Amino acid sequence: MNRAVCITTWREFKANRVRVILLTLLFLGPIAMFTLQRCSNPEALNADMLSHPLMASFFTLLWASGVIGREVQNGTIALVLARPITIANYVVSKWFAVGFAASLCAVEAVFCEHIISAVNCPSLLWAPEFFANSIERIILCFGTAAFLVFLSSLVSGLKDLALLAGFAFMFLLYSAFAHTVYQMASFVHLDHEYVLHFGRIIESLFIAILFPYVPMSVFLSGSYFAYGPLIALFTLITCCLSCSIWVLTHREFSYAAD
Amino acid sequence: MRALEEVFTDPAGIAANSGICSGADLRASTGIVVSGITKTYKGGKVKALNNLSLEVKPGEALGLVGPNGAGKTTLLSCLMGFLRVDSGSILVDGEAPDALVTRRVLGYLPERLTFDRWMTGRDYMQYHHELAGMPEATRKLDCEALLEKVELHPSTWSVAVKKYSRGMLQRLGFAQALVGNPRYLLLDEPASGMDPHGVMIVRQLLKTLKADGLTILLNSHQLDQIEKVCDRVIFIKSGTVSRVEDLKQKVEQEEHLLIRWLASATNLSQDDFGRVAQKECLAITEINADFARVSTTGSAATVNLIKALVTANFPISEVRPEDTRLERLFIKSSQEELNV
Repeated sequence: MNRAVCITTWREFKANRVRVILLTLLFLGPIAMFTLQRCSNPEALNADMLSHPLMASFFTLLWASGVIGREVQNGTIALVLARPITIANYVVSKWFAVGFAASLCAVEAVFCEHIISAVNCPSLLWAPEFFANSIERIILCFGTAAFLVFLSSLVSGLKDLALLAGFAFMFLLYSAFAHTVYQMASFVHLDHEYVLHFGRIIESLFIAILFPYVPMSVFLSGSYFAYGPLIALFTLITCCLSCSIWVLTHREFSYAAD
Repeated sequence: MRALEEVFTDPAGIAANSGICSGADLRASTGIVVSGITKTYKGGKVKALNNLSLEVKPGEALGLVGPNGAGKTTLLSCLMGFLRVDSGSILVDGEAPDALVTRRVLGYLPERLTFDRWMTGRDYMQYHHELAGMPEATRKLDCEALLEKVELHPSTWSVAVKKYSRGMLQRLGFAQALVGNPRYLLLDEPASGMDPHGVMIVRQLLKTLKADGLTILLNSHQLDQIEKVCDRVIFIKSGTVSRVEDLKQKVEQEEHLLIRWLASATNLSQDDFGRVAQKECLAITEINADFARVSTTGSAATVNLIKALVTANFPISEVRPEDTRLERLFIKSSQEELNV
């Protein structure tokens, strides 16, 4: 892990006003809605009312978009890699910087919601749901960050957002036509169970990549069903970072090629 | 697997924090050896470097001269490990250019400088100081010393880089190349966009660095700068070395002189000038009513000619060399290319 790369990533984000405004809105928006919800319905006081951990994905998206691509586009990556720092070190540092910063924002947001809940109902102060939600958010941030770092290493600038949109669109397309595909499979006398299982694997892959969510309530209950998402998360992080390192290692960083 | 090991071992950080000399420091400097490298772009359609070989000895200053598109920047990028060569090999102190130990001894200034424009000059230097694995205790002092070295005014150190002029950016880039006490300095147009004062600073700095024992590879279109700083110069043409000149060798070579005289103040004519030049065995390449261009074979011949002209009562107003040695070599090289 390289401290200089991590700190520069955070400072670069801070220097971009548009991103800071978007982050503030993303932070304050759900809190405002949550507060209104609490105030309008004071009877509905339970810890489940905290916003969904998937909110963390949006924080990660804001932090991670173009995290490597921007440096490739403006050429600053060449001078960084001219220093005694490996590409693997650079990629892992970027991933950690994004994951950590997004986690911090996401946990802060849920902490604010939790405090508002506790003001209304002090018994909720030590509710375990807050901790479970926070850990789910942190996991989600690091998982999504790995995928976004990989997308950012493939292209320059902010084109990784287009790649992500394309990937999400593919998922939507698949979800919309999955039923039709199953029906077509039965027409051509393919084993229905086989097609169904294959379809579920594809769907699980899409979900594991786009929403690397590990339900902590299941995990804490000791159920072995929680290990599936956890293994998927570690696989996702390892694969994405390895692919990102491979892509950057095989890339040439010189304007001479222009 | 090796890459993952490097993530966790972080040799740069360990060496820097422990204050131990890195492996690169302990190794003897063996210079840069480039053996028959070929580099193509666009799937082999464009050949940027064609079986190019050269050697840079430790402590030597080598100049790269050639027309645009000759492959000089490609060569420097290959030496930095940014580009992979199709064939051939590059060794810097016996190691591959993209090895971490090599990067620790290389300082690089690209022609197209890019900056994180939100950073201040000081931030930028401190960022590179940390990336170079230098100790935090000396960071502030080291960076300020380098900024002072390139004569970047202290009032600009805390200003965002986006507000810098082209010359200031170039100076900052030069200072960045010196971070980490490199053993080799690869400079791609270091004085590009600088004012005359900046050009002089760069020239003086290069001389000082050379005297300190740094190995310099200088790519510049400013031939006078190369001539004043470099020991050797390599002419690159179409990706190959077309000529190598030793600039340290004081050879008695042909020089072109421009001589002007006050034609209105004398009765002496062009023919009289011709006779004096002929007597001193000098060839006149061009002659007019008030000036002449002559070829001499060294400073002694030039002195004799001026003495003879003064003795013959020629009211000389100006005597100056037409072009530098390197300019003549470059012109000659270009003419040879045209003839081919």
